[in-house]
Amino acid sequence: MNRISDKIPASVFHSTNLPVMNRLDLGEGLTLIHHEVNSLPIVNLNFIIPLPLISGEKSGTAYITSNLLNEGAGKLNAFEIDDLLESMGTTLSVHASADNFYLSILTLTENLEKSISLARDILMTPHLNESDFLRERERIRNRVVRMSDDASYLAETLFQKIVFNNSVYESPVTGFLNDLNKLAIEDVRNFYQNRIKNIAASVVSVGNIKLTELAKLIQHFLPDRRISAPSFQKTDQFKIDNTTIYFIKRKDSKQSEIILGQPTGGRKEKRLAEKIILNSVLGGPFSSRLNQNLREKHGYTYGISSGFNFNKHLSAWQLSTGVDSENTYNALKQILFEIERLEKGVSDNEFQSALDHTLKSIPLQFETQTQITNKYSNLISNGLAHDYFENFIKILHELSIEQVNEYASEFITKKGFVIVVVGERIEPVEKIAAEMSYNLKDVKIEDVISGNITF
Amino acid sequence: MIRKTIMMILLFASVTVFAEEKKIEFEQYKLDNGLNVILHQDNSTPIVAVTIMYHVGSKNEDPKRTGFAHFFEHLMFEGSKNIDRGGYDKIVQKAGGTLNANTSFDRTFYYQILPANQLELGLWLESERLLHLKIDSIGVETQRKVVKEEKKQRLDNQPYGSLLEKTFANAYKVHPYRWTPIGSAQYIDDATLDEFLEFYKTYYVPNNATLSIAGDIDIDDAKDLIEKYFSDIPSGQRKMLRPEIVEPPMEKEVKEIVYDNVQLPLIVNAYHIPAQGTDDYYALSMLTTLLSGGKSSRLYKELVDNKQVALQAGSIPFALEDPGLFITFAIPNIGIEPDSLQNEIGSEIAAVKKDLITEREFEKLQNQIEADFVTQNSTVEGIAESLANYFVYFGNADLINTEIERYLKVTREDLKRVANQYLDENRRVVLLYMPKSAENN
Repeated sequence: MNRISDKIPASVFHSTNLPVMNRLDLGEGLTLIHHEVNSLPIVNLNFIIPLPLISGEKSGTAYITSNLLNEGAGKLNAFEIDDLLESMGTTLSVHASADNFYLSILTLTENLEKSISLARDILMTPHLNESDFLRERERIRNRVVRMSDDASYLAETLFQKIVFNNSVYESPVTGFLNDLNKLAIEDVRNFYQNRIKNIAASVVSVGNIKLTELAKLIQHFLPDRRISAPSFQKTDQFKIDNTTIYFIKRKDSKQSEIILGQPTGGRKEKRLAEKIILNSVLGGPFSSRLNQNLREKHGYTYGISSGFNFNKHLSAWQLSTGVDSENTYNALKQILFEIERLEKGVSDNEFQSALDHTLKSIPLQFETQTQITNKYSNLISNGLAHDYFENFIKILHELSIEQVNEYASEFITKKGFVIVVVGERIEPVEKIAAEMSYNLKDVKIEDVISGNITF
Repeated sequence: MIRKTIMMILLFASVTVFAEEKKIEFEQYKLDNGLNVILHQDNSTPIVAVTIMYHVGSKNEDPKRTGFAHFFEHLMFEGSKNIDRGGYDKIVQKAGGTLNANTSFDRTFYYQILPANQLELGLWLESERLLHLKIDSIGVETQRKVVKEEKKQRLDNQPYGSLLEKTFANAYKVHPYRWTPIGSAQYIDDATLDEFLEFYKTYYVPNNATLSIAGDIDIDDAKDLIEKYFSDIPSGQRKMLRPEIVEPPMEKEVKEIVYDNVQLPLIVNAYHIPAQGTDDYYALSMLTTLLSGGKSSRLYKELVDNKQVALQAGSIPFALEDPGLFITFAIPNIGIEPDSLQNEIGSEIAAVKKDLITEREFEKLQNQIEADFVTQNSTVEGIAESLANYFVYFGNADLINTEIERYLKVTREDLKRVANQYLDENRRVVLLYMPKSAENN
């Protein structure tokens, strides 16, 4: 036998070198962050406009606006735009989140100038026709109806509505049907004029072009964005119902879809490293406690994971899983058991494993141009410092198990979860809720997608 | 117009030149025990993909034991002589890596993506599986439950989740593609421990495996490590089931209405097509791009945008080792009758059968294919899998560099010909998904 050892082979970990991002203030409200890489003749580019949604605006406005911008711009109609893009082999997409508005380009370098020129038309001279608006609104409504067949969509939509109640994050980016029905083309035109057209923006790019060349192209095609984005408006009454199990009855469901979570601090929080490690042990990778318990020990689920829903201003920690309908209660009990167990802290092995995983997996997250572009776009989107990754790695290197375990009882507040279940009512859920000291509330699917939820 | 055409030709030429320059270099050899090895060195990021493709999928299963290949994929994570139950994940996690696997009709693929310094660990883990996997009743019982929940989560509880199962069951009557990789829970429940061991000894052997490694490696060091961990693993001696069943042509349209937990109907049309790698397969693949590759594609432009009769519309050539399927699908908008949408799809198919596509459209199509080639294989895992795929299915890993030529041989006439030859509405499967509320109407 040639195998020298049956033991795990040892190795030495090399330090992580992050891509070098060059930052350039282009003036006129534009910032460029670029990493030159020449392995492929392509350029990834994200144009990011900060977009704090304003309370009172109809949900879905940013989304429908993003869909309409490339439905006709400058001298081109929608088909001509698509045709031009496909001829160049360029991907150009426009999309929105609650925090930002994005125009993303992936193109052969030789077509970058044409692509940015097209982006200019899309951002500066979109047609925003009423007929396109009516068609797009109908398409989104159809899509929302189609999505309402999906248990995980329903669970996520209701969870966000509850956990981010009365904030700009409470609605799905596509909007609630009630708002979509009231939306008019004027809403879209106003939104574009006031929130997109000349708003200061950032560009994050990775590809085989020099920083100075790219800067010239952007300054030439996208000048004059001096208007600052409006400030985020905090809502006064941010009340969360964390004493109720919300149950969406979905006939003939084969599983119960469960989301359980609560608000948490954002990515600027001091104890973020502790949180990341604790979450990793609880429900992060495949070998997490939750997965080992619910999947490998009990066979209730194909998989369960927990993580953070980070936004710029409000964030949540949440776990989600689909479990055998007949074991919904048992699964919830085991989830709560593991959360409670985490309060006592983690073992040396668990700490070291979670820390190693978090640190050593960093190179895997910076492999492709698209990954690097999105990673650094994410910093901009969340208002984080440009050296955030370097600092976070340093914090992780200095983190001790004592720090983690000291924080374990504070990471998740044991009482007070937002719980949403979507499925069939096979078990006596009233009894289950009572045993867990939660109220029980039934919610109709139509109310979830319409946004008709009151607390 | 002349200027535009010249520009297109220039673009086309430059992309082709780049594709040639960006050749993916690799070394390939075979160990004495039959293990195929492919190595690709790319030092741009300090990571490595360690993958093994076993040439066994659901089509190799006994019809009374469907789901075996996929079930076995789960068992392969249960542990080995030197790795405790659940240990695979823990070891890889601690090393900063990720791992997973998937099973298709034709093969099963395992991969680990690791920091580059963990190449030896990855090889040790894969060799443990191949040398002495632990198959016991605890693992089998647990995975029986997990696989049932996987089926519920990924298929039964999803809108239109039975689509593939129904399509393939209707399209194939004798070939093993008539069942899908998830197979039957009942058969998995019925199977004994000895049957699982027999499957392992038959298919999980070096002479049925391709070890494909891509990333930040030194080729000579990698060869030494492969020798160390794999060379003494014995070859398999059992006969592997390689079905040679030829599915006879369909003689008429087969239609099934499925009442599902959905609000919007779905129309699926499935046509038999030749196996992947054949000349006509490439033409049909390009036809798919013409019909549904992007927003200016024919189905999207006409059905979704212009006529607004569909929420979604598209087509997929199901690339398989044996003759597969060409599938079109569409979801009608609210208020649109499925029959009316089916007629619209028929009109688009009829158009590609009747007329040659324009030269402009054809150039765009070729550019799309070219651009896909430039941007694909952007990850080491993707490169490792592509190299293994090309070798396992075609015996030629270098197709990763040259397959583009097969696409570029396709002509406009080919597109018209294959549309007429294969997209025959009298020999197809039509699935109509309807809301359950419509069942009693």
